[in-house]
Amino acid sequence: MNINGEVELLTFNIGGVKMGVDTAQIAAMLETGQAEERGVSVSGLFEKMPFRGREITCSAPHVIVIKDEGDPYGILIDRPDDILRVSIDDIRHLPPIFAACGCSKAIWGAVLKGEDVILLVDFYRPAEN
Amino acid sequence: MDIDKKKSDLILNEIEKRRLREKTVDVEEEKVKLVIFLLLDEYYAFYGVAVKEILPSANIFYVPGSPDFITGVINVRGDIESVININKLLGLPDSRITQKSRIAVAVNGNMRSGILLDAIEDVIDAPLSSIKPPLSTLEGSKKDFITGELFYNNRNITVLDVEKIFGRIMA
Repeated sequence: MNINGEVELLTFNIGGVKMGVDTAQIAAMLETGQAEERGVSVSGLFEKMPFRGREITCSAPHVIVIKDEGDPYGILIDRPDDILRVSIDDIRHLPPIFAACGCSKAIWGAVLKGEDVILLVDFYRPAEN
Repeated sequence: MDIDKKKSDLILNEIEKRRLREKTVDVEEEKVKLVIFLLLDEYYAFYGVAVKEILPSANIFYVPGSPDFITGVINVRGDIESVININKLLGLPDSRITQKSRIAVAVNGNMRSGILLDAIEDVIDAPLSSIKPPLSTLEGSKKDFITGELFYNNRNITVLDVEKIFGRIMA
């Protein structure tokens, strides 16, 4: 696989946390009703990785459908924010403590946008370490 | 009775000698830098050598899937730094983040992280001898991280070991 100098990210918000996913992982963006109609299996991101142990309610729920070798599956997010093209040079490693303490590998890096930190999530990495 | 008219001079000389001797001892005594801080209503310290910098409390971004002793990450001049909730490790209730809250960036070997503190009280050079070993009767989670205690400005200060804190996180 070629890695060129940029990654296109879909950024979204879930439980007040700003996250971004490589659009190459996304098959579709659906509203929850559409996902139901298409029979897409949907799970909340908070079910895959704990958000301080609480369930997150989404004010404007959407489903991102993840490309998969098996059946595509959906991840419930709050509203999608933006599509960003980010230079690889602007992607930061997570601090070493996250690897040291056995945190989820699904969050693999971060991008700074103004004062905000956007956490990068890879749905092909295991949410549980 | 013999009267030693020089006695007072001798006493003054002796006092001066003693004063100089004490002063010499003071100069030679090894000192250690301590960063004294508050957590809830108790005073703690880190050795200054373990603290790279002290930052004002910034916007902390929670990282889903992280354990409860990690508060999140912050943006430090374009880099990402983790922030530890030390209260959780010490078995204390959570602190409220206020204007006085600070993040001490601690370093030990290849590991570094911010540690969220309620306030920085002082940075001092303390005589090494003033730091006493921790009481063997200490109980609770806290005792695993304590390296010593000192009495400073009428306060008991518990000295915490950054290496032990990071060691627990990596265990």
